[in-house]
Amino acid sequence: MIDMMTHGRLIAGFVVGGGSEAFNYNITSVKARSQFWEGCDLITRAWTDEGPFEHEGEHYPLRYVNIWPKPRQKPHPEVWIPGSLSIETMEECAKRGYNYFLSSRVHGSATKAAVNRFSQIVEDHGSTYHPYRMGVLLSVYVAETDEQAREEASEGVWYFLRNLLKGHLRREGRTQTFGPGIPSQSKRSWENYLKNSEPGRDLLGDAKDWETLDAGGSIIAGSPETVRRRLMELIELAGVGNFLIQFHFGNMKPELARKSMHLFATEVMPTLRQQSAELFARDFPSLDEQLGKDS
Amino acid sequence: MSTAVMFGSLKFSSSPIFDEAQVDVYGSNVWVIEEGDGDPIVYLHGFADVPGLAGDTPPLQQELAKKLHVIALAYPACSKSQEREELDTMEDLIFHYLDVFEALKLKEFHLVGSCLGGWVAAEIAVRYPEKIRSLSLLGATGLFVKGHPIADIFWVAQPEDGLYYNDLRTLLFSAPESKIGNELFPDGRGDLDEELLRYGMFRFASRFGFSPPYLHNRKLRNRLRRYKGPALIIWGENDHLVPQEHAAAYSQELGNAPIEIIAGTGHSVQVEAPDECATRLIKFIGENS
Repeated sequence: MIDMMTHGRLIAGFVVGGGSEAFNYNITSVKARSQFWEGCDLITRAWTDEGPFEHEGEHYPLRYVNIWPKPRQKPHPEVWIPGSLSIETMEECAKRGYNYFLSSRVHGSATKAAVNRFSQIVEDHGSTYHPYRMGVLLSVYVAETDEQAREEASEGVWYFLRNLLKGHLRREGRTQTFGPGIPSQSKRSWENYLKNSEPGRDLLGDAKDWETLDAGGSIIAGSPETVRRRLMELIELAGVGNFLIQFHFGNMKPELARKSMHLFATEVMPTLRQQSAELFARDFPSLDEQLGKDS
Repeated sequence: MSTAVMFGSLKFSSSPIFDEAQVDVYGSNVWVIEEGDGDPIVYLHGFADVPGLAGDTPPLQQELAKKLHVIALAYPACSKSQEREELDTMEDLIFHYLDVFEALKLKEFHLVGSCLGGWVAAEIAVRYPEKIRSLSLLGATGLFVKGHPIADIFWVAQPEDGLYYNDLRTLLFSAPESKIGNELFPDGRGDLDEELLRYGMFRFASRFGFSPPYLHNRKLRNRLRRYKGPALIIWGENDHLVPQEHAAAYSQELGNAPIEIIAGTGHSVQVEAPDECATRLIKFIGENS
């Protein structure tokens, strides 16, 4: 229905969930992934197959599935799956042709490493990586000058970091993202995580000052020129073609968020689109063909 | 389908005392540690004595093996036992053990279970009492006792400040500063192999015990009457995971089975006081052989 109302602009984001969902809904995390992927497959089949059909699922057995209306986009809206680097999520996305977006708020070289891992996995599944197969979650605030951006964004950013990241993207307190009590990852994935992470390190929500945040690159505030430059640097480094941007933070006044979004749409996005298109055309010669094939 | 028991050709043998083997049970490997002569006892472990975590062979099994034929089985996903994705319920797990007992040619045996293992042992005993010569439960989960819930081990298995497991050690041991507790569940990041042993145990436990009913089966209490053989209940004095009221409930439903409270210990009495547990178990099993 939303796809119809938006003339085919729906992007479907499916999220497996972590501790908050496991503890609140009393569902063991061990089964979460198999439930999740069955759900994804059921939804995409309901979008594409003529009903009624029977879904012989382990978790959601349904005798009659028959949705109306079908989405406007054919074969179906793009599916985006967030992940924090787990191999399984990347593999399952690659298998289904879904797009992967990195939600773990690591940036710069860590984003590049994630892109490398995902593109390898995409290739292992017989397809070719291109920048629109992946996205990155980050936060942006645009104002007239760098100083003004920092001044206007500060209160909302700190409110967001201090109050809205409990148990997630924060070392302080009890983590609820994943772990032994929320063991959704296989032992193989967990081993990989242990080998590539350092316990007790500071996460996004632990930043003590603006300089740390700014250096982290997950929250970018500045003039249109600054924001454009920093996002373009990330695009060049990582080869990622989609950003999922948080424009509103914590208790930020709505008019500030709207002003920032307006500046982004008029003074950042057009140049970014053009420059990234040129860059991708050079680095990914068969991109047009791939997009034609995928869409 | 073949049921190959591979005791003849051990795949792994790291312990000079104990025989260890992966036993193929209808295509799934089960990790078995075996030692000693005498009456066979099957041991089902808890969180704190996953085989490999406290040395190759946990201390209680070592003590028991001096007098008895100990067969310790690692759950699916634990130690070198293969994880089995198709197991969802306690019923599935009991069928798994029927296969394991068949593969090991175990017809009658003494059954000992700690923590979650106590729950599994009780569930087996009420269904197949004829197999069980005696039943010993140490800090067993499994029962619903109104007003005395089993604490949430999954919540506290998530570290605080990314590093600290004080609350987990509180539930599993007499106190967070417990020496053995800090060896088995250290703060920060432990040795990779040990981290994976703990993680495997939590994967297993979450599969059967995360969703309500939480680490128990409301119907088990009424079913305990099906087991009429000898039973012994051993509990830590300061069990913060499974309140002592559960020991009393087990005792009551198992023909007023004796309760042995081990002073100064917490939930993981089998690793906090292995000698005291072994003495009591050997005496009890000896009297009922």
